[in-house]
Amino acid sequence: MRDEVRIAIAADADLLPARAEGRALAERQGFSRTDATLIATAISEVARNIVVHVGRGEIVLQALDEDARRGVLVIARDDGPGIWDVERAIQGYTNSSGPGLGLGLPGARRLMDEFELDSEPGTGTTVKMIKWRSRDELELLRERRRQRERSG
Amino acid sequence: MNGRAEFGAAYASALTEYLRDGDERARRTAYELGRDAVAAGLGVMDVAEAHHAAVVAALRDGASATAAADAAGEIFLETLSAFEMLARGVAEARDAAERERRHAAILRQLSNFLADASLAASAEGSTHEILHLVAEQARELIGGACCVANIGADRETRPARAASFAPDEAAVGARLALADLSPLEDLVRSLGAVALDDPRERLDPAAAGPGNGSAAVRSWVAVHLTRLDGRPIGFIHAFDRRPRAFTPADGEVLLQLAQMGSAALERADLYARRAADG
Repeated sequence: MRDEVRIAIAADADLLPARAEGRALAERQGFSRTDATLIATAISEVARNIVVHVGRGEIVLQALDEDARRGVLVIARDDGPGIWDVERAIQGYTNSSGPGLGLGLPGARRLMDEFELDSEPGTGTTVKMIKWRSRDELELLRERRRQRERSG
Repeated sequence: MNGRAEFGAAYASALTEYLRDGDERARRTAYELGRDAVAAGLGVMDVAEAHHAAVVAALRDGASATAAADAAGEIFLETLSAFEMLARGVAEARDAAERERRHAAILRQLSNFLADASLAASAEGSTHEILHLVAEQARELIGGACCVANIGADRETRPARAASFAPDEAAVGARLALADLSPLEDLVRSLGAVALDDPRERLDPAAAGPGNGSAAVRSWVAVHLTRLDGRPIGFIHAFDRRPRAFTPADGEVLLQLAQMGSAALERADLYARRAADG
């Protein structure tokens, strides 16, 4: 069964369970402490974006398992007014001003391996981001041995 | 956050909180501290100093060395995560500046090459040389598995085309060099500027490559080649097998290349007509 968690985001306090669940999932997926921290940070940034700009939305966390790698998928979704200029938002520009500090959405993008922002005015915004970690030969061997032991 | 002293006190308080509770709340406090420090213009050295002072204070207050070290590690990582975003942003900006510098150098060099190509002995040879240069430099500038430059879209200009592809992308290059690109070109016509898309829906599967397989081209960007009066005479296409391999910025670079290529084609045409008139 797929490891999936949903967290409703409606207030600043909701960042806490979103971060905690993201970190716990990252640890279950075998990420290092540093990478788990970066995942929790990226989750905080997209959740904060929902709270500040829309007020209400959700974060979905999912474990990804492939032969050669494991990952954490984070989906941040809201039904807000959407983003007029997605490219500028990803680059960190705020309204008509220059680039921001590089936190927020661009910061989250830089901490994760994959980042997609889907938004149109009036239809809300969905951010999908993934952090991967490679599985080395030793890990694969151990898993095969465990499977053999279970089946034998 | 007004300064180092206030940051130092808040950092020590976050460490004490984590030593006591060891939960996500204290980690989040540290993460927020990092964000505030970035916004206030504090640096990593300021964090290091606050970290050292907080650890010394925790040990003096009776925390065990192991507990203090573990907690300090967590709080330090959380605080630095905001600086990590910043550092990656700086690295990204530096790479972009380097890419732009390289683009400018290539375009300057190309300007000379195109001037020479316009003066080739025959009009046909000149056109082919220009298209070849444009396709080759397009790939050099924005990357991609294959670039195609063609003219003849206006039915007045004699059709010609050139393709350039990476040595390890010969299969993709061979498919696209001779493929019918007109369904894609219709989209460029309707947009009137840069077209950027997944080309698989519009291209013949034999040209695009099999379905969702790794050999299929998933990214495409194209612009017009035009006459001086703005009439379109051809296109520059770039393709790649990676999804979303091209950005709007790549389209802008192609536009600049198209302007230079268009001017060279126009010059070549002019020289050829002058030569014909004797």
